[in-house]
Amino acid sequence: MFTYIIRRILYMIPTLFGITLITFLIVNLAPGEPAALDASKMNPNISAEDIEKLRKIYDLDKPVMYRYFKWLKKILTLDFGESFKDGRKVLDKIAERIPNTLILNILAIIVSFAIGVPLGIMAAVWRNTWFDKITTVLVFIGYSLPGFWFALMLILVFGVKLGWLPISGIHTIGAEEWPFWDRFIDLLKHLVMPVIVFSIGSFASLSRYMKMSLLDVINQDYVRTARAKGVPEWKVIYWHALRNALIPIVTLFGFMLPGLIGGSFIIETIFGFPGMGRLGYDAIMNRDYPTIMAISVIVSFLTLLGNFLADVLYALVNPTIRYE
Amino acid sequence: MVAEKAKNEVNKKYAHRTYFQMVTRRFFRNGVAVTGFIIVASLILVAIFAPYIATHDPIATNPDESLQPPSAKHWFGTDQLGRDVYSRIVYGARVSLFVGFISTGISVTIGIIIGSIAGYYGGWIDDLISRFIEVMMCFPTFFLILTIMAFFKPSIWTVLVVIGITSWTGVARLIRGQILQVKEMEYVQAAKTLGMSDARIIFRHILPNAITPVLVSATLSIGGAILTETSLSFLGLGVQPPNPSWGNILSDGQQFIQTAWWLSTFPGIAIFLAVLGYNLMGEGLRDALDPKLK
Repeated sequence: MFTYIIRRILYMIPTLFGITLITFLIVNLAPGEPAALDASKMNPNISAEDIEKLRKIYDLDKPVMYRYFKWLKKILTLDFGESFKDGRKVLDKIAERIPNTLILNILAIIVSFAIGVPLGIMAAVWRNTWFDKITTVLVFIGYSLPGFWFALMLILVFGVKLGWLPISGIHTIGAEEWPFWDRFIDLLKHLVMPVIVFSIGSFASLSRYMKMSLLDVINQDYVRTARAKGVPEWKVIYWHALRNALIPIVTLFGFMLPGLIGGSFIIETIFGFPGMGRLGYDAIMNRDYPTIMAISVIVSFLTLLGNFLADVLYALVNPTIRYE
Repeated sequence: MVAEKAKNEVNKKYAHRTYFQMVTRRFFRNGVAVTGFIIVASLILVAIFAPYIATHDPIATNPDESLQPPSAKHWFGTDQLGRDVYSRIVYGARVSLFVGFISTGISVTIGIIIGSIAGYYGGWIDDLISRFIEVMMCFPTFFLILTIMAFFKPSIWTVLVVIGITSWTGVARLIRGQILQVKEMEYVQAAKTLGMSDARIIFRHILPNAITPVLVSATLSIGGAILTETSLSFLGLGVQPPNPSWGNILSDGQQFIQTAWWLSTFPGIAIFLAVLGYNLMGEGLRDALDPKLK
């Protein structure tokens, strides 16, 4: 097990290298130049020499590979440089956004597990009944629903028509002065709609996954044996079958890691939610190279790490797997 | 031949039916599949016959009739420039289906070629390709597409090429796995012994036996591509106005959400139905093609 983990970690290094290389090449070989440079070209008071000076500052006069290795050396010490947009450190900008995205996604994961897992179990236990059929329809609707449209519909109904919920941001302007509980309620109100939008897709795939997994286990020999020796049906399901059916669900936590930190570009933009996704969208719109590259590398790395964690978790909870 | 004979005996009951007939039969007996098929077929018909179905010119503006609610004249109301939303949605079906089909065509072609090379040749070629796929799969796809789109002049062509070249990894993996499975089977060995070329073995003998899961994944990815196109157009990085796309109508809808509910409601229903249709059809195909159910 220990050697397996070490081997997997070593195996991640070349992939990580590939991630940084492709990120850098896409951003730097693309046509056009950073917005800051574009803007200065528009300015008639800036001479050609000044623009050359700016290009030197950004190293745009050097070959691509030179810039790549310089950048790589910096990001190995977690230095992602300064934003082209406002000159602040990219890492600071990211750090202040992570808590917002994190709280939103943790709530969404809790909601989708709380609904998706029981729904999947019930659909498996009562398979081919009307309950199973309705769940199947709900699941299909859930993962075909375009998140950004669903978000607009929630805003339309609960924000505009009924006026129950705030439609944008994370707190009401001026809320800093309010007492703690009012601020807390205010935060929750802002989170309700984004959380619903984030949960709807994942609850659907989760319940489907849970159902499949439980159906797989129910047909195993040891479940038949348990039934044959007279174990009551509820105990067969919730004691013998469910424990094993939950094994693949555990690995899903690994796959959720990148979304947990990376957020969603389009939904956060719609709700004006100050999270990582919104930061990424703004960075792209401003051609803020350092921020784009930082987000791309961080989220890709988290995906890699998530896959790794999923494998390790799977090995940990499933004693039948041995890695030698 | 021996294997063929055994198969024939097993299927004696169905001897009068070809494989294709059996698959179609299973497909059309499945409620999920038929629902998906009806939705997709209607969308394709709407796209083809758009000029006959639409009631107005989708691009013609009419300042006197801006932001009107649904009425007998404008079934889904009008937008801020007085354009008929119903007609724009009808024409938008063309854009979405076009992007869905072409970009999936591109990604499936790339996926099949790269996956076949990796699976068939193995060794260091496979290592290199698999590594590359692994790297590609780590990227947040939508962010990658957004980044690339932001650098180019957005148009329907850039949209479909960018979606195509960023979403081939799944198919490549599928094909690679399938080829690894069938590569060692007797009929492939026999073809090799007969001195056939690699390309002929791959395309004539291996791929037809490996293609079924690709068909399912392609159907599902048309739905995914439509979702990506509408998202991009929604953010202003896809199909550009005045050309109608469900995504850019929805973006007008967001702008006028306080006053014009119809502008954000109807295009979204269209996107939802299209994606749902392809998802249901993909599921139905999976069940119909699954040899375990035979």
